[in-house]
Amino acid sequence: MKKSNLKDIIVNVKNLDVIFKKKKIIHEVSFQVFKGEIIGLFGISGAGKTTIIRVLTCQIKKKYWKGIVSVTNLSPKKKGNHSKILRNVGYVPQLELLNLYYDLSPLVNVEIFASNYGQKKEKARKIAKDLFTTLDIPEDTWKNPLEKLSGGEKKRVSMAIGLIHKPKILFLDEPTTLINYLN
Amino acid sequence: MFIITHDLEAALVCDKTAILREGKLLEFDTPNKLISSLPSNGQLARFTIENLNEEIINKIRKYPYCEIVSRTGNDVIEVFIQNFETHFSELIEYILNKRIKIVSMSRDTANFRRYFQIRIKEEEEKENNEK
Repeated sequence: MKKSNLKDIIVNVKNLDVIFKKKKIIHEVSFQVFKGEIIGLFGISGAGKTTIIRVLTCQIKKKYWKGIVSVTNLSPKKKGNHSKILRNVGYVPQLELLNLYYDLSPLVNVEIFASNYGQKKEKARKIAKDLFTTLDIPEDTWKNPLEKLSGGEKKRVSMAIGLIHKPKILFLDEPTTLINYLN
Repeated sequence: MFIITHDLEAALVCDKTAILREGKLLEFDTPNKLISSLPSNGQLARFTIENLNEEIINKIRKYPYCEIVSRTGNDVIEVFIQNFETHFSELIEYILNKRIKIVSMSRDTANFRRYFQIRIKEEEEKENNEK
């Protein structure tokens, strides 16, 4: 691995505690992530993996957590930072039905999400086609309703949506056929 | 990029791995560094043993330089010892002298899965001792 420079820190977590209903579910977690690093979060169910990611992606209200957290140099503590942080991160949920419209085609799905980020239709289409090609989604399925696609293909479309705005950080929650994506 | 996963093989593609248990971050480092924190840098001896049982495992645990014995299959164990190169042949001799029947054996380096299991177990034991 190349030598890490302090200014390349993309995620900084220091003494993070998360407390729900007086129960501490994250205890003083600290770590730093540098640009370009792939980080694996491992632990049996209930270890707190998803909770930490939810703090980083502004999904947990600040009253439930304390500590220093910065994501692309912005703190999720400040509500005003949320839209900026969300523009910098991509999230692929464990269950793709949470971020996909099953009765629409992969291309239309991507257009809808791209428009959320203020991207024009043509540009979104171009990016979508590139991503679909990279992710090996067969071209003859691009205009079919998503529900007709196989499980693996749906997962790839979900991943394409996580990447549509070219995020600086990507979060993958339980990608089932992970090795296929990355090789 | 962050990958949340139960799939321990995924460590192969990770620069760093975070190991979490009950809301605590136990480790955060490269998989290789974590593995080499095991006795003898993660080098292990693997034995398939005829009629393997707890009694046999406990006998092997009593080998003076033995650090960890983990059962990884019905009749398979992996043994971590101090100074692997020095004690490997002695360990084999010790096992044979106890009249334990070795069906096959090999040497290997621990993978991330094994590290993870050992590390989680260590934490569980620590917690039980505190109780």
